[in-house]
Amino acid sequence: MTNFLYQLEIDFKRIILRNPAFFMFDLAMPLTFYLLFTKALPQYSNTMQWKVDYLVSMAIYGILLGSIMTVAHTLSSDIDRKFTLFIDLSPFPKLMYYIEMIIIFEVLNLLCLIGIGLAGILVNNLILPTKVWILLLILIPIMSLPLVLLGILISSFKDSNVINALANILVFPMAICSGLWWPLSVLPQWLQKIGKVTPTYYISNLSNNILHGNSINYNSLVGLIIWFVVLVLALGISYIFTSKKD
Amino acid sequence: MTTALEVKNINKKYKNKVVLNDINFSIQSGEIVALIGKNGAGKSTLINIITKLIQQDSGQSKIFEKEKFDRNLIGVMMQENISLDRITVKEIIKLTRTYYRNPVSYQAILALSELQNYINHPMDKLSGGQKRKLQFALTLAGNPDLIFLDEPTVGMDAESRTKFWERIDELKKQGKTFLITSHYLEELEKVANRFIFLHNQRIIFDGSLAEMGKQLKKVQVTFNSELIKDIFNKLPAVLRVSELNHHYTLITSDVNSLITQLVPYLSAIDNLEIRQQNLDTLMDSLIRNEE
Repeated sequence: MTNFLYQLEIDFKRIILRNPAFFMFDLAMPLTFYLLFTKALPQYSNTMQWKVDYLVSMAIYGILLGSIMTVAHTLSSDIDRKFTLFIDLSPFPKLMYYIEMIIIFEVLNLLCLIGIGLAGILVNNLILPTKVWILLLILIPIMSLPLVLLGILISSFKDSNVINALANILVFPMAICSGLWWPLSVLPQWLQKIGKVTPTYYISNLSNNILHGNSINYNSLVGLIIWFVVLVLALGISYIFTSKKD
Repeated sequence: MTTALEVKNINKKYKNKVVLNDINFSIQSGEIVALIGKNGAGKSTLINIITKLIQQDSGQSKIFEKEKFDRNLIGVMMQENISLDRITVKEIIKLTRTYYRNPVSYQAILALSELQNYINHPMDKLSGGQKRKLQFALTLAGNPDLIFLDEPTVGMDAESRTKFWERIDELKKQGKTFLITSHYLEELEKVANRFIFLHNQRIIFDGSLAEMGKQLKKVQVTFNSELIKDIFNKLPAVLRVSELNHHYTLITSDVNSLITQLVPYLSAIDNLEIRQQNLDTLMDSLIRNEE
């Protein structure tokens, strides 16, 4: 147990505490978009409701960035720096490494959420019941678990160039067609259909349910759970596949 | 006397090309064994199979006669140094200790790395030589009994290398077992008591340097001379001649005859030496025997 905790402590220090760059990256783009649409282009955002909705969208976008780009980058960096090989050769179980990394990335996502949320509230004087904020702060990181798993799946490709390329290919199209950057309605029908099965769409939809006090959309909930199960299986298969071959 | 490592009938193919062909050997506790062979001979693949990083197609390997592979018993000094960012020397040593059941003390690992003045230094900002020493110290953190060294002294200066091999010798006296791969054959000659030569996917020799020399019964005669190579090529007792900048190396299995044949040319020869072959030329001879 001590080895798990110490690994957690060290990884927290090197990935979060001593790493302001990534933290800023996950926050910068969403916040810039938010400020752009709420301050610089006020014709798009005349209602308080819109400002709150968009803040949540941008928060989820920040988490998407963190879960895929930061996760993929950190894990591929560990491979390049021979840390992964080091762990493979030691008695420390690889599964433990992945579990405590997931914990770290969830903490990163939470901090990202708090950062964007606070900035949004301060900039636009948003008011929302505390209960809703707390619920979102707890539930969005949980819902973003499939995204973190997706980030880990990408990092199993081993070649850091492939990993970075895949991360980029996944993140921006997903952000767009799941309606995070602008509403789904402006996209063509066929793109909307694709968008409606992305995990980010489900997360966004469920977050809006909570935000507006509506009942939970069971379609989205089931969809997200399916994504989670599929990704866990995919990771299992990828692990077995890579441990057999060269 | 336990068998530290037993390798039985290991075979490995990679994309229909045979990489390892029926590899068999065992190493007893306290041995220092050198695994030698040209680049691409399969040394790394063999080590990766033994350390369970990749799987063999058939055959088995056992560490300390145990059915279950236990990473607490081995240490592997990888060829490339771990260079994690945003983590200090002190932290990586402490972290590595937590991985093992019976780790060596923090002070002992620090002493081995010779980085007492760098404990708060980020490990990726160390020099190449410092990283290598740290790598070595971390390899021993778990107090392993069987240690794999993959090109251990690459990046070390001459003084560090000497100290390194002295340390290995001390550890051997404590009963530790080593399997070393290295291209620095002169170092291996001094340190290893046994050589396993991997060539064309098979083990073509397994034994001591003396046995290698005896088996080949060949001796080196070296000298400097302005005379042309052809003269020496024609001498009946000569098996092989190589020349570089007027420095000649003749290989023969009959030293007395060769010396007799060289007598007419003695006035044109300087620095005549007769020696047992070194590892380099012995390996060459073994390869020629195979072909």
